[in-house]
Amino acid sequence: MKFIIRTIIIIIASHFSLLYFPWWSMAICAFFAGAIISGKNLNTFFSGFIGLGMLWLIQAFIIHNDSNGILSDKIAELFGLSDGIFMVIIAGLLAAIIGGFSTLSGFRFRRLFSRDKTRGLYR
Amino acid sequence: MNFIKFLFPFLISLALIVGLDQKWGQVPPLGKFLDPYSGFWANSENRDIGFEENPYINGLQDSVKIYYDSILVPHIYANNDHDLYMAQGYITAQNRLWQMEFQTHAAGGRISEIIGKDGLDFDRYQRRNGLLYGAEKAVKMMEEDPTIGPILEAYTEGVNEYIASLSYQDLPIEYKLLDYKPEKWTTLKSGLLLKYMANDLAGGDSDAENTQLLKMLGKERFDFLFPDRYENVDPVIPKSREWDFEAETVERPDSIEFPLVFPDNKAPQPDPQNGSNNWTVHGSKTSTGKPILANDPHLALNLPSIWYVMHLNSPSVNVFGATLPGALGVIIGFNDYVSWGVTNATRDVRDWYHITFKDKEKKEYFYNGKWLKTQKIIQEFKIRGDENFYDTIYYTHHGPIVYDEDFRPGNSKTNFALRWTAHDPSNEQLTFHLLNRAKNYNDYEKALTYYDCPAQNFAYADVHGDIALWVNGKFPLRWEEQGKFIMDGSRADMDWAGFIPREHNAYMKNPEQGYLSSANQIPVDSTYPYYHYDRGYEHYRNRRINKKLETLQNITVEDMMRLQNDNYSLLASEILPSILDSLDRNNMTEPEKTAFAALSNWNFMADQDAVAPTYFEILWDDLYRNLWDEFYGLENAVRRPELPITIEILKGNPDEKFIDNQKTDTKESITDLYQMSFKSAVDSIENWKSANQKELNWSNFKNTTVQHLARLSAFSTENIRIGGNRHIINATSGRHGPSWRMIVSMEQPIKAYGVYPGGQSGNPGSYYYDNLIESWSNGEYYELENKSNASDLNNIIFTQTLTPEAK
Repeated sequence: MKFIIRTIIIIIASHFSLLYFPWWSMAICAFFAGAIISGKNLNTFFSGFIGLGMLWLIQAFIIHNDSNGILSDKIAELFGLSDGIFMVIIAGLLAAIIGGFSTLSGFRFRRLFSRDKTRGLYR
Repeated sequence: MNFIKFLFPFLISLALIVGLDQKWGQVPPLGKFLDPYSGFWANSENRDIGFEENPYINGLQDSVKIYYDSILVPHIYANNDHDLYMAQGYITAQNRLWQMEFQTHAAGGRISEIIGKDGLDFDRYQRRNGLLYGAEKAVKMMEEDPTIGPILEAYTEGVNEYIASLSYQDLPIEYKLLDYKPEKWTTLKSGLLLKYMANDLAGGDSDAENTQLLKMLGKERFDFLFPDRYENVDPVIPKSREWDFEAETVERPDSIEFPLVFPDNKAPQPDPQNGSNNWTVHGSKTSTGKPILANDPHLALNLPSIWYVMHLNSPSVNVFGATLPGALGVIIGFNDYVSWGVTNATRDVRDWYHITFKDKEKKEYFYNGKWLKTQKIIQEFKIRGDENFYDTIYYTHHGPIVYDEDFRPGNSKTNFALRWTAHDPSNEQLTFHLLNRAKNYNDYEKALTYYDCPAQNFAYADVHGDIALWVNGKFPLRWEEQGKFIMDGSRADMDWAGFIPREHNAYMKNPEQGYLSSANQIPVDSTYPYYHYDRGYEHYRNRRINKKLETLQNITVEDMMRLQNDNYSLLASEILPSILDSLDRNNMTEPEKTAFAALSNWNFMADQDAVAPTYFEILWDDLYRNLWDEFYGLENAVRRPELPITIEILKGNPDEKFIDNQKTDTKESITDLYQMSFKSAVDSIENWKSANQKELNWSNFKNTTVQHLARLSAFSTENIRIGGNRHIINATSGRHGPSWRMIVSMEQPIKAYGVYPGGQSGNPGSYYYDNLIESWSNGEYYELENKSNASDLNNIIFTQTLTPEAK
């Protein structure tokens, strides 16, 4: 449940942030989401990974699709790729990796100040 | 432990963000660039028009309405001229900002600021060639002009208002790709743009090559192979013209010795193919009884296009036509009364002087028995990713020292100063300002008096029925052969004595023949009393145009469209039959038989689907190369004899010693050359066929490409299906061709048509980036409407209102 909430928060906060601020502002959103809603390492990493990855993937895909790839195909050609859809995938992957690591660092940041309760209970 | 667990992902995130926020070699900053919100994705417009509908603009006096028609031509309606030119600046920038800045950076020698040190040699040449130097003088004169000064300022403000409104997301894609930002527009940039055109059209000369050839061949052979004029020319101003004025004279010095030194490592020169066609036909020959004017300037085929088409309306003007992004008003176009079009008035206006300095300090140079002082200017070059470079340029009274031991010294390592009309203060903008508002022939004639460089043949037609053509520009008054070779810079009699008076420039109005045309050929016949010279007049398009115009009667706009798209190769028709006649038809291989059949059955039309022009192209190139093999592979590249002398020798001088190929032991005859060239042409075509998976036809073979200014093939359009070639009216070769086709019929109301190989948008992510290319290649046109009432406009797809900022 926390995973879904965190992922959704990352998507929404990053979406609005990207409308007004530079691209790396989404990493800050992911960082705070990771810090606010705790979880486990992998759990936080993947909510950032999926959150930002999906956001960029979907947004890029919508533009690619709506514009018939008029520019994404050309940019793909500049990168030596055959189809603009690869640019969609690359954008998605790039955001996913940044999302994963920044959410995880947010979570680890929180851990600097609060004790890991789960560890005490089960180990 | 916890700290390390934090630090590890945190540092990865940080490294990713910092790393992806900057450029790595050719790779743009990927984080910024791939961001779907403001990266390159934001430039994906396709058919959407992303302009702001009601932008507020500081400094406007009143609101300005802009209506975009179906091909995105803006029709601008302003209540005063200040607002009109401010809007022109704003709207042009909105569509072509990157191009505007890139071209003026190129002119100003600042390309290395964008691409790094690979651009330095080019940049240094631009500065030494004096484009910035000339632009600075021109801008001073424009700013001081009471008419041009204020509107040039308004245009500049308009561009800057647009630039100020941009955030990263709105930047043209090229800025994102190359990772830099637009800087403020200045009046100097407008000046630079005009010098960019001056260099393109009047920035070439052969003085160094001529000097080298003179040294190599001797005067007699040089004169035979490189004559100033040929027999049977068809000049711009018809031979029937009589010169009814007392010409100014200039004495040829008694003893001329051209110093046989020359810069032997010259910087690349502008494409000699830069040229154009225009013609104007009198009502006596048209179906409506009113004149028709046609123009197609031939330039490198680039995207974004060199031209941006606009309709400008204010209480003082209602003009439509092709504009140059960065320059005021319309350059080629029409208003409610007149139409005009330009071709390059090919003529040498650049002379070189060999300079002797007193010592290495270069503070003084020898001139007319005295030591004169030089002026020293240090130019700074900012280089992306490198330290600044400083270049010292010395100025003499002739002009800047372009070549010396510090710049492209070659073997001669000596100093050469350049005298060029583009360096003189001038105000060509005033000409266009007045032409845009001209109502009759007198207005046109007056407008032309302000025009200096690059000299143009201005064709004219009006609703009153007048037609005219002026070979117009500022031409040096020269003694015979002055400026053909490198001159001794210490002799006063080598300097230009002055300029040909304006009113003595060649022109003609309402000739009996009922038409006038120009296609970069020799301007006048030998009776013209002033010496004029150029290294490369055109010899074919003009004759074809004049022959067609002579025979056509009841001419319609459609006839003119057909003529602009005419693919007849006059060159082939004049040489190919004699080649084919002398080929040995026995012992031909199968491919040779096919080629021979194609060439024999050819109607000389270089149409896109034809096969014969492919054989002819290579056959002719090989033949030319075999004939003039002595001129290839020399230590310094030289010019080679022109086509008329080449054909004359092939047809009439079987004993010419150049016919013998130096590489072989036997002595070749003309027939041998034909045979050799034919065989090698067939081989080349067979090789082409196996190397290319495409059908052999003319358009596939020549592969006409409209190339992006930064040479990005993804932003270019390749293999366009179109015929034509050099020396053909439809002058479309591989990378070069008609950059704007316009036809205006001066009937009531005026009917006008135009098309160009590009599109109105400068954005590769827009449908309007290259949407006109197909119509252009098919010979189709769009109707151009300069309705003085906005409500009469048809096919409006978008409306924009520029509003003054509320106080």
